[in-house]
Amino acid sequence: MFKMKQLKYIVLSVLTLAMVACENELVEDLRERNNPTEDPLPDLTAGTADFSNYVALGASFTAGFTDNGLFIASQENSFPNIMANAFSNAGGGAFTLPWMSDNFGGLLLAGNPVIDPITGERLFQERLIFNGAGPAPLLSVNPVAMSTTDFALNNPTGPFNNLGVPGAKSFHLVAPGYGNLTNFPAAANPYAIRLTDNTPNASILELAIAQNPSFFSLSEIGGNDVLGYATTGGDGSNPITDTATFNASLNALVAGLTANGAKGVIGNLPNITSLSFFTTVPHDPLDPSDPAFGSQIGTLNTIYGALNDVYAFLQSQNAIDNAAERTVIFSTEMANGVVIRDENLDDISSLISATLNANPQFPAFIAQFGLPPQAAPLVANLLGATYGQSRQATADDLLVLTSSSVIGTVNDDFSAFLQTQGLPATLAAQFSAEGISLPLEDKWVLTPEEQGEIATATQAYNTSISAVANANGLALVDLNGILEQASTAGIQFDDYLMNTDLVFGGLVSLDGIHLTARGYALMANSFLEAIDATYGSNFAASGSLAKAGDFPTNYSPALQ
Amino acid sequence: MLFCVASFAQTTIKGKITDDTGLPLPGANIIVVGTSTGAVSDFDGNYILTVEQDPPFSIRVSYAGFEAQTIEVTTKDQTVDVTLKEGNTLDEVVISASRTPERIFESPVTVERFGLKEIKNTASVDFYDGLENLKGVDINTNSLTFKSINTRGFASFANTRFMQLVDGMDNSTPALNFPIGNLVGMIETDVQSVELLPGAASALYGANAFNGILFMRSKNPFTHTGISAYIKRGITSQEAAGDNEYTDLGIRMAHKFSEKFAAKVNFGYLKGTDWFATNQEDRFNRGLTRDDLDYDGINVYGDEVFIDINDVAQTLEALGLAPSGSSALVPSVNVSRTGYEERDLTNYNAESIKADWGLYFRPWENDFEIQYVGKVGTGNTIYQGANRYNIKNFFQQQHKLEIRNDNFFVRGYVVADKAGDSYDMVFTGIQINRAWKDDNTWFGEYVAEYIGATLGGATDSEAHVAARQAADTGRFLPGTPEFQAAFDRSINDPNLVTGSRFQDASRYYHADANYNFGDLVDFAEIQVGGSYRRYRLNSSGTIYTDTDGPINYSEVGFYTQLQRSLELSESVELKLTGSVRYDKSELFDGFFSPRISAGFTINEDHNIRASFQTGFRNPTTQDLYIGLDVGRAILVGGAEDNPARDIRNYDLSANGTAITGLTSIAFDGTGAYNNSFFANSVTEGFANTGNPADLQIANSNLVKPEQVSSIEVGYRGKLDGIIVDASAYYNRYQDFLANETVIAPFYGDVQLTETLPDGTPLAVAAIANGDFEAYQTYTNSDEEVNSYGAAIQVSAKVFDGFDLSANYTYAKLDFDVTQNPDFRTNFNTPEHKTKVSFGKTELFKNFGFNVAWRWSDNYFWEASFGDGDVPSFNVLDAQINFRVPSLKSTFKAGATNLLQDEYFTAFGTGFIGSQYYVSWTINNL
Repeated sequence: MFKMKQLKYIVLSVLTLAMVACENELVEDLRERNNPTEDPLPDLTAGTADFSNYVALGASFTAGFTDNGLFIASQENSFPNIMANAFSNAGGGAFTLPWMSDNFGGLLLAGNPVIDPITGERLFQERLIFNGAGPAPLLSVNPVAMSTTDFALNNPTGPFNNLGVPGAKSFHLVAPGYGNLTNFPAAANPYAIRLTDNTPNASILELAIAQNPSFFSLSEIGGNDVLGYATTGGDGSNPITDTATFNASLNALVAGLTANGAKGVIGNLPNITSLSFFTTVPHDPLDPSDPAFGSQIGTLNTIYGALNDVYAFLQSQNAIDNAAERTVIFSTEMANGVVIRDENLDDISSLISATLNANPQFPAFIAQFGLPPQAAPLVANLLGATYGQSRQATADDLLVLTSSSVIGTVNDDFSAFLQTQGLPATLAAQFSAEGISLPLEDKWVLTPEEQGEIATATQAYNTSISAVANANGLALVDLNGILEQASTAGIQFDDYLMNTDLVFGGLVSLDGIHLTARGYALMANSFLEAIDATYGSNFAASGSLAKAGDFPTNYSPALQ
Repeated sequence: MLFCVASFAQTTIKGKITDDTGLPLPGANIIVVGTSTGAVSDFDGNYILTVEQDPPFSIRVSYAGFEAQTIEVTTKDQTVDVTLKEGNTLDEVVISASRTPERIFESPVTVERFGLKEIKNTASVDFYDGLENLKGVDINTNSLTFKSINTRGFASFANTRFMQLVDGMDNSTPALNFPIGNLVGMIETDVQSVELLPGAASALYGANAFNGILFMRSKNPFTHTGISAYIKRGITSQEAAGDNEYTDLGIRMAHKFSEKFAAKVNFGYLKGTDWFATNQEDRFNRGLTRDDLDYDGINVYGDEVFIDINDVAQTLEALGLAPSGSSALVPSVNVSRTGYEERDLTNYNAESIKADWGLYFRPWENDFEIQYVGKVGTGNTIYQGANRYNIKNFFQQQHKLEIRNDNFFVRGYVVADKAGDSYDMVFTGIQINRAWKDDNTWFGEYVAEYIGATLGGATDSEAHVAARQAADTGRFLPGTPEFQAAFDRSINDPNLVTGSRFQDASRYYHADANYNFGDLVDFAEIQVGGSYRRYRLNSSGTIYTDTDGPINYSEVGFYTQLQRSLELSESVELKLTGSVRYDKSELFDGFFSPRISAGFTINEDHNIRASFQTGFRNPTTQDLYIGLDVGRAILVGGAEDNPARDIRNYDLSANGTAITGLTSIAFDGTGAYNNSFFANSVTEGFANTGNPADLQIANSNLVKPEQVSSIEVGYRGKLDGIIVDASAYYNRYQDFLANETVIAPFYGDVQLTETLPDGTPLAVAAIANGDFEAYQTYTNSDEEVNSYGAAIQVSAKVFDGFDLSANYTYAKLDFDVTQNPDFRTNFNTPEHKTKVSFGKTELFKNFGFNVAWRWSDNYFWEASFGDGDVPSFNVLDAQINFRVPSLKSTFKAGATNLLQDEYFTAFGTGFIGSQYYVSWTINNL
């Protein structure tokens, strides 16, 4: 029996021990309410895909080309490499890249720069940097940053998982010898030469197949097939690949890659004319408040006035029906469209010269430019030749990025030609101002007709890409839709609202065509999401996508 | 002269008061029964009592913790030695529970007492801290000298639900509406007793006696004369602050000039170093550090200011300060400015100087007494409210006139404060930053550098690092003259747009009266009483909306109580008590608060009680009339006429200007109460979805009183050597005073009937344009909040005279917080608490010790300054003491938090370290 005294201790000790520290519900609820714990993300799974041996085929985007160059850092941030990083947590294996030798970009051939035999310009220059005002060559701020990557002397040892070849068109990827140095420059690409190692005649597709990939990505197929045409203003020097050729190449690529059951992802083609390269230079860059231009407006309007009268006359004679379209008037109030040569216009050079020659006032007209009356036929011919297909650009015309360094400058060749025709040097120069007195050449402008050709080709390519993806059960990425959104409302990538503005948009690199590292990360994510949708993997749901903030938009000029 | 002397009868009695082991009992009360004439035994237990009365008469000898004795005096100049038998705590007499003296054992409600013996034995640093060892009591530590007592849950430092009376005077600070600990309280040697009533007591004590009351009574100079003093020196030891010296001294001087007149003076001084608050965790529990963009450290100030840097980039673009289009490079993320640590914004000086004096006049030499008592206090401490405040050189004074006898009292007093040089430490950090570089410039530089670094090749995190570095370049560093100049300017500027000084000179006037008909009516003891209070708020617009002059309003209340004892049988006695009180504030309808209780005493050893009572609480002066910008929101009180008085000017956005045709707007607080959205529905809902349907209309109701209904049962028992005191309660709160955070658009109605031509509701446009203000409103919740709890204490003598006592307190909030995500109860109380004390008054001759251990369960602290976990803690305090009767002295050496595990009782305060002290107390009877 208990004694009271014992009871006393028992009561006291029970009291003391009553507080077994069990976590109470209120504390947990309040803590949870205050700082909700997010549901844990599911573990990453590859779904039905096998990422153990991933090979990427494509062109410059696949290679990681950015700021008009390919270099170590840009290769690291190439979208296939970003994907491979995600794959590495889902059974992915090593992903080998054909590393460049430096972070300058650009290429040398046997120790020497490669010079364009026609223009004399250096090809494969170092990357562009942002110099505080705009894109500028790396060498302009760092004169010793000369490329050290030599595609004759120091090519890396393959095989390579990243088989992106900047500049390659669809049919190039299946072309034997495209990576053979001996075919350069006629039928080989230096970036392909860097990939072929000891099988110089192997096509890029063969290089891929030789690795027996379990998974592949196929991107920008068809990109250079239209891009070359577009960047040259549709001047015909770099024609659009015909659809049949494209289709044959595409089918060969997909058939070869899927032959042993590999799964893959394919991206369609964006409408490249939305890229900054085509949207940065406005159609009306001529600012009347700029004294160099503004002071000339009176003279210019006098000359164009004479031409405008000619157009009106010809229209009254039913010789032409587009006098208004051809009419050029420079405003002193508003921005003015540049004068361009539009090869879709009928060439009315002879009608112009004839009309001028027939006009008895014409000799007096040219007298105000200090030209003697006997020069009238010559001047009439020159005017006819120059303005036979000219008009002022409209908002529907796209000026290529490179035109910005040309517009308003004196075309020395044309000026020299005019002098050979007897014009004084000053007058010759006055008549040679690009886009002002001298219509911009076709290569600087994508007219609506040319844009239509690009759009038509792109649409045809995309139809094929979609069909081949469906037929082979491949994941399809709608890059066209993504670029469309980016170029209109902007596209949200984590905390950034990116657009296609040059320099500041965050998506497109300094060359106006290729993407920034952040842009490539967005691209990689779009591929991963397409893979999720097709193969049941969960890169997005498991939080395995690339984060925008981890990828820069620019590379430092100091990056070695 | 001879004649005169002879005409007076005079009897002198002397003797010695001892306990049953023969030890002298100093400080025992000897009173002539039926009079107020008495004496107190000295340090050796001796007393001399001179009575102008001839025998026979009776004297009553009492001593806390001992059973009182009444002895017949039959002859003149008799020696009366008395041996008191040690009683137990339940036999001690309290007066607060029924406003009339009664034994704790028979009290109709739960009551705690902390008497002279407990004060002498406590292991805590002082008596006020010692209250922490009582069952059911929580002490929340703001700072070294500012502690908040609470019972039965819903604790905060602004503990307006708990009342503290010193000799019948409420000593809550007029500006704050709650007592600032014992800073304007009592010095230890003047304390007669401390009583604590947990739970509602509005029936007797009116509004605000809602969660409980603390009563402190001082020693009357008629019965306690002479000089007594103490000095305590030691160190406070904390990891962040190191070891700092600590001094606390007090002196009491009382003199009975005659049977008609006595007076006393007390003086106390304390100086030490406060607990440094150096918590650098993120205030919103996001686990962030300063390496994160939007870090807001708990004790780091200035980093409260943040902005979405993409908005800044767009503004810079619009102003032509950033290249067109460059905002696409800037992420839409919040970035906060770099703050200063609290330790750079205060010197943590803890100082308290207090003095009080009293003149006591007994014109008829009986129990009729007229008192004047004055009290002043000044000092430095730290208060944690919406922000953390350095209360510096504050000054509070109280003056009381009271007329009383054993049956009645009438008293009137005034309490007035001055905020002195007090300042808001959070705003000080913000203002130093702004004084150096205004927010627009700082964020502009940040964004410019972010863009520049990005274009130079930086990743996001590199760009942020560079941006912060660039924006912070030239920042005022603590310790430099520039920093000091900005600091000084801020704390002297009461305009919260540019400064951080806290201004107040508010006061209230209070009158109380009570009459006890006990001597006149036989069938029951009847009391009636009433009170009146008038507030005068005067903060010159810095706290209240009193820019145009002080705000005045008043409250009045009346109560009555009947108490009757019935002998039901030989062994069972029933005591019934009923009280009711009516209160009326000028601003609200009147309230009746009843209380009924029944107590059964069985065989004199068991008492079972049950009671039901209601309480109510008027909204505080701040709930009613505040108008304070705390940065995150504007606090705007819910009195009917208040919101319209909070008028502020805002610049409208460019879009807002286009819509309204105004570039700026004067906007007042009425928007918060009649045209507002819940902030959560904007920040969590609309901001994510962009869907106007996610906006919820808030339109907070104006504030009204809060009510509680409480049922309590209890048991007290004396079992062979064991004393048990247990109680359990259930509280139901209605119209719970609560805050809502709302967002008021500057234009457009929240019903969304007004729209722009494109159909966008105007109010939605206002929010999208940033043309709105966030307010914290003061209102009542529709939700019913319940809480319940229990406490039990068991004490016993063990091992031959050791006192062992253990108590356990349970407190539970009965409210589903998950169902009411926007409602904050601020319960802030651990579910389980255990406290044990062990000691012996006389371990060896003149040598005693006491050890106290407390354990608290973890809990979650919710308060406007910040929410967060308070982990479970264990605290061990101990003291040893040595008495030297020849010096009338007691020496004590003690330590608190001997385990040296730093802990805290509220999120955001400094961690509580250890205190080591020795004290010397002279003549404290």
